[in-house]
Amino acid sequence: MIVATDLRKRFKKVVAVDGVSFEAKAGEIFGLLGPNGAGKTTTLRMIASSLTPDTGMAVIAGHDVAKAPDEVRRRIGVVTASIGVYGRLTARENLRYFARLYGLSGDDIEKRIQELIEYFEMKEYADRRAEPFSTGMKQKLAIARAIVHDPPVIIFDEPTSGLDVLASRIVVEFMRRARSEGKCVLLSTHHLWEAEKLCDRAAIIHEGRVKALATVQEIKEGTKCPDLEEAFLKLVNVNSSAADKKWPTTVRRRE
Amino acid sequence: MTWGPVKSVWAKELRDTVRDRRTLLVMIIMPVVLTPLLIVGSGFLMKSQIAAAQKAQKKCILVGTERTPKLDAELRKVEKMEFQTASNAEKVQAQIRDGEAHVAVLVEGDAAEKLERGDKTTVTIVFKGTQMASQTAFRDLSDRVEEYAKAVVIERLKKKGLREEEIEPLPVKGENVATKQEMGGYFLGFIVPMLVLTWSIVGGMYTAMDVSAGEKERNTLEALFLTPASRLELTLGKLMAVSTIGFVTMIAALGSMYLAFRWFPIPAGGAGGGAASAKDVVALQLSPLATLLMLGLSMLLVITFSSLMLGLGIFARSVKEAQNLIMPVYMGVLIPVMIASLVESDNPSITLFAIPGVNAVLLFKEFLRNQYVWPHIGVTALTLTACVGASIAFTLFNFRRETVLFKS
Repeated sequence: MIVATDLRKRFKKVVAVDGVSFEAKAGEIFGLLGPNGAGKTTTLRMIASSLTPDTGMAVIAGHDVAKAPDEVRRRIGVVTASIGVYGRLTARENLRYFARLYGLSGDDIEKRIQELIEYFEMKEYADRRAEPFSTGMKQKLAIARAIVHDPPVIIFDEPTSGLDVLASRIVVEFMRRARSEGKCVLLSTHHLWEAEKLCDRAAIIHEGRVKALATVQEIKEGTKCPDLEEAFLKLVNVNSSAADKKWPTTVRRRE
Repeated sequence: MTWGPVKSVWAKELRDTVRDRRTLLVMIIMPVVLTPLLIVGSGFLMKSQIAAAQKAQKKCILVGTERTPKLDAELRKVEKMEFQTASNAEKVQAQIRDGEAHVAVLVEGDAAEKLERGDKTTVTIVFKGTQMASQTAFRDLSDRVEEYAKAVVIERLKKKGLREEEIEPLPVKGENVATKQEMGGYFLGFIVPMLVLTWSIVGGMYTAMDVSAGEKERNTLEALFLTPASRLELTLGKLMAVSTIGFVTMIAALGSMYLAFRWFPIPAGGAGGGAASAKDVVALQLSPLATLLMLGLSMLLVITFSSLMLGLGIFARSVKEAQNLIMPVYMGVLIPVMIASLVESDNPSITLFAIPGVNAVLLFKEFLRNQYVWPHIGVTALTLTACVGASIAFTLFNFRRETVLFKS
């Protein structure tokens, strides 16, 4: 479903992505894991056709991103951390707008919207303007909007950042459901505990490069670490933990 | 490119705009209410203030007029004025400044002797220029002094055996051949082009910022760009929405001004000067051809400015930054246009019609006077069409730039 080969991207003097390659299949959740600034979002944006890679290529559901970006966009749905919805439109109008832009027409639009409203339990507020929605309500709407065209590939970029437990649960449950429906789910996150619970396979990215690519279990076994977080620290050569460091005591209080 | 996504974006942005109170305020309330209020209202306000000042009882201090009884009698003919005499000329200025009186007339100590000898003497009228009543009193008293001076001249001529006609052999009589429409066009030539230019920019300004920088601020732009709609389709849809709002605003402003002039007529003589009949009023009378040409010209202006604002808006990271980018452009366009609207020329150089904005102002003036100079129209149409193309290319270029879209 997703084949990324030697993707590279530079912003002026900063190398954001430096030769990232991986393959994600249908019916799995593939994790792109790493700290902030590792190059995950840039990689996702190249796959989603928002950014053009300097070198390398990405193929989504058989379509080359560089050659057929429109075909790629028809086959992907992207959910980002920054949930932006049109506040002056109702939830239904938000969905209808995107359905039209994704090329849906006629009765298909209303049927699909109704299906999504029911699936995400948005019936109560579907015809209300989105401006005062809670973060959870907006997140549901953002996911529904991303999949309004029923894409085979769904990309999540830090989808639970800033969400409370209940809102996070909606996202996590949806990802599991998508996998069971045979979708290819690409998850980018720096919450390694979340990735450990969800991902079938993962690529650990640090400073724009892939440090490891395997199943979560294989990564843990390969690094001989009990969890993914420790494995990550080992892979990127960060040995000292906060517990070993001396507490900073340079500020002296007056007695 | 297909029109489906363009129409979807256009319809969505219009709906979004209509639901935004801030934009509605700029779109409807300001042009419909403020424009006639500013133009017609300010004229009426000034007129009513002058009328009130004329009706008001004013105070006048006379210093030294008892030495010239005829002048004193002439001055006292002024109606609605209470006179008091004073001997100290030094205090008078302070009294007028402090509002103790509206005006004072000072006559020189040897005025009577000078007039008797056939010399000249100065009559000083002290008034306060910032006070309407004081200004009115000054004008009334000046008229009386001039009337008296004229009588003195006639008397002196008589003594020398001369007639009035001998000293003024060629009195001038003005005869204005301008029609009512031309006089209206002359007056409106200063206002209408400014209105069109202003509202073609201001009308769509909030929408332009909202659909570009606003989308970035609300984090909706990336989701929009991830749809299969091409950047060209998205740009055109947004441009159509901004242009529609700009055009509607401009038409609303002109429409309300037209109605204001119909319901509250302003005398053309007062507006345009010359010898126009007192019954003539300023009227926006346009032939179907002029209306059509003005609409076409306005459309080109609106699209150019809308596109320019959209291109700058997408370049900005926030609505505030977009405002900072758009305002200098707005001022940069408006200042030369303001200067051009003040320039009075019957046959402006054709090169002026190659300057965007300035050409529109000059053409509007011609249309309002019922003049159709086809080389002027042709050069303007070519220049503005080139501007439309360049501004759309600029906007599209910015919409396609990765660095602009993910600038943070």
